[in-house]
Amino acid sequence: MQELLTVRGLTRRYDRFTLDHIDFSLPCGSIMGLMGDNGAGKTTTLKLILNLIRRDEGEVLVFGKDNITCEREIKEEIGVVFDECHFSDLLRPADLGRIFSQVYQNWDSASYKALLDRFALPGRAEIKTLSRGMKMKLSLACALAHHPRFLILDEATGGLDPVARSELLGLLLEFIQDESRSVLVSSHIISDLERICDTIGYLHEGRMVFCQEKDALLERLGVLHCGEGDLVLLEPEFLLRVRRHQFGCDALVECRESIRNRHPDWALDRATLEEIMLFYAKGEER
Amino acid sequence: MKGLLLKDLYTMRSYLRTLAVMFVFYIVLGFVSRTSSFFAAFVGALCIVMTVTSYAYDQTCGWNLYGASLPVSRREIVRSKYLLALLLSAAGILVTILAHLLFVLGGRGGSLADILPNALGAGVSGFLIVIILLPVLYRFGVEKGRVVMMILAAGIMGGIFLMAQISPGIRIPEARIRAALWFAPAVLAVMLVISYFLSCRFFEAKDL
Repeated sequence: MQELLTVRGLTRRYDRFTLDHIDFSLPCGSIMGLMGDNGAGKTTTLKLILNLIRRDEGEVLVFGKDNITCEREIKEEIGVVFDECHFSDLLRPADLGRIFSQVYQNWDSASYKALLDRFALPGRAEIKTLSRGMKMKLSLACALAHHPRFLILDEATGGLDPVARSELLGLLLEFIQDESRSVLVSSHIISDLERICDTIGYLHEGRMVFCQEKDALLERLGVLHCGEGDLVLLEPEFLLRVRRHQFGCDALVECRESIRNRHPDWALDRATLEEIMLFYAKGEER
Repeated sequence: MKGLLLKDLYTMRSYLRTLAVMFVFYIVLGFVSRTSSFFAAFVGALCIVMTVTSYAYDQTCGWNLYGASLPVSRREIVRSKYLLALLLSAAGILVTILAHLLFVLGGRGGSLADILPNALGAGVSGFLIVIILLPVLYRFGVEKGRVVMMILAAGIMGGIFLMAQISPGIRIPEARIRAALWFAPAVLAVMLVISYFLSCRFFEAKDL
């Protein structure tokens, strides 16, 4: 499958934080979610892809082209939605249509108008009068109306009510129906990522812990609820992380089905993305 | 570039309307009081205030981050601010000329010969301050930039005071001042180029 985004050895060093040699790729026609706790490096990664901050090492290829040397060409085909609406409160949705028609070569005014109508956004109302959900929909309309091939969303669903979040996620699934397009979305609302993503990248303290196909990941990993005694019986190669508590311990394990076959009486559940994140953030290494 | 400029003008739309009303008020006031000198100060201040306001709006809503994610270079974002200042100065000069013409033709004082120098003096001095201000804003932002500007202004005033103390009797002949004015456009152009490249350098080096 053709890759829309390739990130190799991406590094950015700050005094107290380093985004450390991140590698991943995003094929065409898929949605990838970046999950991680606050300060894990999700926004830094997205900003480096957009060349909004300087990279210290590594390479970013978007549509097979370097994101710095071909920046303008690439950005003609990227739509971005940040966690906040970055338009002045004094502007109106109709103004944005006129502004972006002068910015993007492929700006489609009819498509923008259709998106405003679909989201029930009043073209003549000042942005300061819109709710947070409406502002995010406006940001999404602006990100989609030039028919981008690559959509980047940074915590775009944060602070939205469940209905608005559901609508936004539905739109992303609709966007991806065209298999030449891809979405990279960062969020700490794990249920959102679990719902729409094909691939999950988990960042922890500036490192990519894993970047794998979501279904395969959830199929493979499991959570074992057991006592310390049972844990000793578990084959070490299956054990990833452990969380101990007063009643025993929980273990994140690999090859769930193999363990089930070997120990059919053990309490072994599927792991959710949220549990996986908690095991890496709070658990102990094997 | 046109899109960025449109964004600034749309953002300041209500502000511009208020200024238009103020202009009409000042013209009426000038007619009644038979004085038009305050127009020059008003036009100079207009260019400075509007450009800084535009930058402050961008900073408050995080436009620079969003703008840099669009298919425009950071240099274009900087250039649009200089173009905005230039347009505001030109508009200010034009309005001042029209207002002074009204005063002169309406028999409310002033002379035709003074109109252009007065208007140009006002517009250019405002623009001059803006080209000093913009690199400071791009380097330090609005809040810190304000402090830096105050320090700069205090430094300049202190320098002038010190020179006056060192050589108290010094007087520059008017003919020499007039001759120096011929070089003013070239000096302004050099300052503009230096200011623009400094702003670009500061903005391009910035993590957004």
